[in-house]
This record gives sequence, structure tokens and C-alpha cells, in this order.
Amino acid sequence: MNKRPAPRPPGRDPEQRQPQEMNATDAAPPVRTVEPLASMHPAPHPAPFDAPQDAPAAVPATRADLVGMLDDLRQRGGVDVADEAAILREYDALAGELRQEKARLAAGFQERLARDGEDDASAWLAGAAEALGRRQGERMRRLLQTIPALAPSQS
Amino acid sequence: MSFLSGLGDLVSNVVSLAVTAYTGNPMLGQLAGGLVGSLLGESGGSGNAAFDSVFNGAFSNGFLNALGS
Repeated sequence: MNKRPAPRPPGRDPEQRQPQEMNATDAAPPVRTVEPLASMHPAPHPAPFDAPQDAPAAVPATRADLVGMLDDLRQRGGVDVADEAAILREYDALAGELRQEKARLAAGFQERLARDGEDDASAWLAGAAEALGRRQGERMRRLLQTIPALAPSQS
Repeated sequence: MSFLSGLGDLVSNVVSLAVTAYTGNPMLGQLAGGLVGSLLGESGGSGNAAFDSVFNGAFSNGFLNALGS
């Protein structure tokens, strides 16, 4: 009875979107090349992508941008002041570690590039960088799990 | 941080969408994309485009797998 679908502007239905986007992309400059991530992670559900409607469009590229995003989340009731401070503390620790690890991996990459060639060096780097990302993501996940609005939906 | 204007933007958008899809929580997805974009942006480019391309993609992949699992 109460199955009213959320109102969407015409053309925003996920099931109609794909062909439209494919046509649009054919005509547009080739900006959407996401092979590495997309191919390793085929999206299991196509549905939830209409949510960022009320989200800021800009992608954070600096700590200041991230602070702005967290402020926005706080205003929308997603986090409180203490959560925001805890996320930034963890972020700062991760950013420091990332800078150090990245410098170490860059030196290792150069060595392997000279010694083993580009394919081997890139394969080694991909494994090491993914492991680093996973470690850092797990640390952040442990923190985010303590914030109710940021928990995965029960489905 | 002009380094992030290309690949990094793309990577954080993919992370955002993937985490949203895996967790069903758009707010978490948005934050995950923001965290990855900011971490990669603040860490800067290495001066080697091949390194940055492999590093950014693989790091983001690991991060989203951890957050989306």
C-alpha cells in the first residue's frame, strides 16, 4: 500500500540511466576511465546512487576540504563535534603514516624499475599500496563503526 | 594540489559510489570518498606519473575494500 517510489526528476531512474549515460558519454569527452577500480569491484546493487543529491559536489583534495565535508555532515546530523574531532585525529595519524610509506614505496619502486622492469615494479607497488590502503581503511572503519549514522545499513 | 585534479577526483568518486553500494549508507560513502581524496591529495605527487597512477588506484582499492566489507 505504501509503496510510493521516491520522486525523481525524469531520467534519474537508475534503470533508465545507463543507456542515457552511455549515449551521453559517447558524445562527450572521454573523462570516465575507471577500469582498475570498477573492474575489481562490480557494484552489487545499482540502486543507492541517487543519494548524493543533497551532498556537496566538490571532492576533498586537502585536509581543509575534509574539514568542510565533516562540518556539512555535522549540520546534517551525521556526526557530532566529538565524532568530527576523533575522525580528524585518526585522519592526521593516517596522513602522516601515508606520507612516510609513500616515500618508502617510491624509493622501492625506483629500485625495482631499474632492476626488474616496469611490469614487475608496478605489480610489486600495486600489492604494497593495496595492503597499505586496506590497513588504513580498517583503522578508519573501526572508528566509523562507533558512529551510528555511519554504520552500514541493515539489509 | 593540482595532482589530485585528475586521477584523484576520479578515484574518490569511485570510492564514494562503491562504499555507498556495498554498505547502503550514502553518508558513509561520501565520507569514504572524501577521506581517500584528502589523504591522496595531502600526500602529494611523487613526480613519477606511473608510480602515482598505480599507487592511487591500488591504495584506494584497499581502502574501499576495508570500509565496504
